[in-house]
Amino acid sequence: MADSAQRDQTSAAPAGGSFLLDPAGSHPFFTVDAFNEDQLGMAAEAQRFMEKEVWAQERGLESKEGKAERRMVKVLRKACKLGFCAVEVPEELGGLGADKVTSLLMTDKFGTNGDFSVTYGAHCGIGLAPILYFGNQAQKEKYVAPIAEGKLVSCYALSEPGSGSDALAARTVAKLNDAGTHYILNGTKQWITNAAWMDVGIVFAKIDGDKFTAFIVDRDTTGFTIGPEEHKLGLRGSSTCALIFNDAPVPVENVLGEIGKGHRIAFNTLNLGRYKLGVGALALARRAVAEAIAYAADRKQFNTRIIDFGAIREMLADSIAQIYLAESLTYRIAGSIDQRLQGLDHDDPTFIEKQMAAIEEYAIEASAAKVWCSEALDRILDRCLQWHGGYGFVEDYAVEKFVRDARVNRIFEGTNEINRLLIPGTLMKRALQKRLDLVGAVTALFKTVAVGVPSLPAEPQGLDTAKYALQRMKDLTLLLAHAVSSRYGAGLDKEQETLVALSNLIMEVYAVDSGIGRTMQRMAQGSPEDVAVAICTLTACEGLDRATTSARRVVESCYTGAQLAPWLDKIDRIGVHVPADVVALRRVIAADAVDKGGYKLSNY
Amino acid sequence: MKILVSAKRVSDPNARLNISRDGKWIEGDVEYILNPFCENAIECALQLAEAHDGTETVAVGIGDDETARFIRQGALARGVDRGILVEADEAVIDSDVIARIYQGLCERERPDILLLGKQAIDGDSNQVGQLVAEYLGWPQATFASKVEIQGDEVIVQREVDGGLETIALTMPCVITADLRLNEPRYASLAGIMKAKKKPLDELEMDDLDLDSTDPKVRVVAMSTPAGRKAGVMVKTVDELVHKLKTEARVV
Ligand SMILES: Cc1cc2nc3c(=O)[nH]c(=O)nc-3n(C[C@H](O)[C@H](O)[C@H](O)COP(=O)(O)OP(=O)(O)OC[C@H]3O[C@@H](n4cnc5c(N)ncnc54)[C@H](O)[C@@H]3O)c2cc1C
Repeated sequence: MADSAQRDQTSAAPAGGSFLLDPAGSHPFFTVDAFNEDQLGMAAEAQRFMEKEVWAQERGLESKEGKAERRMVKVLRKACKLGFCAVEVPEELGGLGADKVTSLLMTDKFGTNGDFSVTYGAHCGIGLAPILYFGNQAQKEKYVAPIAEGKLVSCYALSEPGSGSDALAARTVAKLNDAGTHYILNGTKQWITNAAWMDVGIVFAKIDGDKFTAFIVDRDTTGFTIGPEEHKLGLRGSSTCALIFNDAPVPVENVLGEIGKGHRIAFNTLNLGRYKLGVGALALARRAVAEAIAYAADRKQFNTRIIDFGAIREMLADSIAQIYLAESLTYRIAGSIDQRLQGLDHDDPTFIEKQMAAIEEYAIEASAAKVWCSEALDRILDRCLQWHGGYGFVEDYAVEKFVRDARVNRIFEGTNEINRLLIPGTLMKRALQKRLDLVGAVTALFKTVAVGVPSLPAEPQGLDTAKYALQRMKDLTLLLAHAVSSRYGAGLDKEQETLVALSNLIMEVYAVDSGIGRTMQRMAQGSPEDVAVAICTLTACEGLDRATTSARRVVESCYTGAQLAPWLDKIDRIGVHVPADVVALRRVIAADAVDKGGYKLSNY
Repeated sequence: MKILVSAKRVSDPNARLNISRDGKWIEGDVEYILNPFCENAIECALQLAEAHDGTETVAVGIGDDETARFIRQGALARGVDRGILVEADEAVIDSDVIARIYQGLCERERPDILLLGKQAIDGDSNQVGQLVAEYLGWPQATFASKVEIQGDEVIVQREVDGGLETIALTMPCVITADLRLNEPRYASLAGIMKAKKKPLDELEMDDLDLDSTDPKVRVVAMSTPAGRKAGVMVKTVDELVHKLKTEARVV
């Protein structure tokens, strides 16, 4: 009974990318409005931990002496002792065996301090997941519990001085010794988080110079040294150094996964990390906005509180809107993955494959989350700094640190360019594989355009305007995907400028669709949701404005003369202007945040 | 041994509170936390239980359904064995009724030690421990900063004006915890997940055979603190000293 009910749920999880084809609200998804009591309890304890152990010594953790004293490692170990690093570890390995949503919630709570967040993420995210997912029984028994309990600090070493985005071009090599007992590693890994205090690391190297393979490397390996600490713009409380291998022997039993299949480990691990990075960004944004409101409510100029100036409230409203969407779109991914994993049997020999498939299913959404949230964060922090005036530019206020720490989010876990390019690439691949019926959707769209795009209800209520504008954004995105693939065919992957524009549209659709879907679920509980409706209306209407302009520019770059006209005509028919009083909408959103002293559309 | 310990929720001191329309209570989306002194009491109970095998710890909350969450998260998740929720309307009951409830609970549970926070940081009454000791006829040690069991006695160091006092009590007894008693632990995630499987009894005041449930104190009015007055800028140190002497009268 229970089993079949679970299977039904599994099949209910929508295909990755389907947000583009289906109207908003077609598939209910997990939102932060639905945490259970356990999750809320864990969140509260994580919050307490952050305030007392991290925020209280935030600047101290950044100092060079702090690093020498390894204060950060002490904090990490304390977190491990409380079980924060065992969230995703299965029960049979001594963990909590909790779902992706719960794990994401912890990442969220720890995201409010960049230094701790990246240390935690490198240790028990990318530093542990490869062993959890790809390790054999002996490796799991030897490493999982000690890492989860904080007895061993872990790291993940993929990047090299000469290969970052192009990770598979790595030059670190491994060669089996004559006795056949050890692989001898030579090469350098660059930018490795947790390097200074690592006890163990996941290191990628090419066996015989061509078989890309993952290894588990212990700190005390001979011939293995750690480079000096980098002097960074931000995340100064974290450790980033090179790992240097000079004829370093690694026992053959420390080969992780299959020889020559290291890329699967590398990319799946990053896939997992991407939407988590989105949530980390969201968390810092929430904290920054709360602190910035407090500042601006206290300071007066022209006998007016800074927070009461329209120019400032406008910035605040945009920030609140972005946080709401970020919250909606990130947890949606974790919830969908959980839904797919729910019916799976852990003892099934293909369990790992199935788990990877469930995560890969949402690769488009995960890349979108990484890019969209990290860029929203930088815009939000820039506004927060701005309304601090000169005080935002000095170390006395936290926003200065937030800005420095946030910047790297657009660089690591796959740069935003790489992730942007992955989005339309993956979408097109899925259409070819017939996993997503893009062709059917475009055919239907052409019919709609021929008979006339429906018009907005005369007296739109609630989410009507937002849903209408979002549907037009989706139509434009489909049209554009069709326009550019018709023009470039298989050569599309060389047209990065075009792909970036298309990617931006897809991400915007995903964000607004997530916000509207969540708001529909909230309204179904009977509450009017004035602020959430304002956010959806604002972001959908302005999103449509941008989408229309961008679509025109893209087709103008693809086509000329008689070939161009029909595309422009279709864009004009779809990209109708949707009227909205954006000043009033922003005022509603901002007033609520000022009144409550921060972003309070969620409550965990 | 058995220890009964309080787990009272209080409105978050950092949250902005709105006074209800009748001016007698707070209203709206109030955020709550566990009373910090109860956290000290809970930590003390857990440490005593760890030091003395076979000790049972029981956490008590008084209030509405929401209070159960604080018993589970604040006490059971940290390691307290079980909980009791006594349903009552916090807007109506006073310290005396609460003391009577604890009296009823002690008669029912027969603990060796009743451990309470020295006061709740919302009402700041600082009365319950003293009252319940009187009603039960048990010895009491308020403002405890150190608690140890030696043989049949509990040795308590108390924070008193200008110093410390160490007293020995026979059991059963009432102890109220001060801030310096200990550093409350975090709940582990495993503890949080286990908490909901621990027993949590729900009682009504009627279940306790109380002598009296009529409050003796009634809230007449509540008001928010007056806004801070604007500061003044002084031009010279002399002026500052002068103002501190004549206006602020602090030097
Ligand atoms: C603080 C910090 C911590 C880090 N931690 C880790 C860690 O723990 N483990 C680890 O393995 N790595 C880590 N990294 C490395 C990080 O993942 C890389 O910096 C990142 O992948 C980018 O590689 P790169 O620096 O070599 O830049 P490059 O790949 O050289 O890129 C330079 C620029 O070119 C662009 N670009 C590259 N290729 C393309 C393309 N095909 N199309 C369009 N544009 C392109 C990029 O987007 C970027 O803007 C960390 C980096 C930092 C700064």
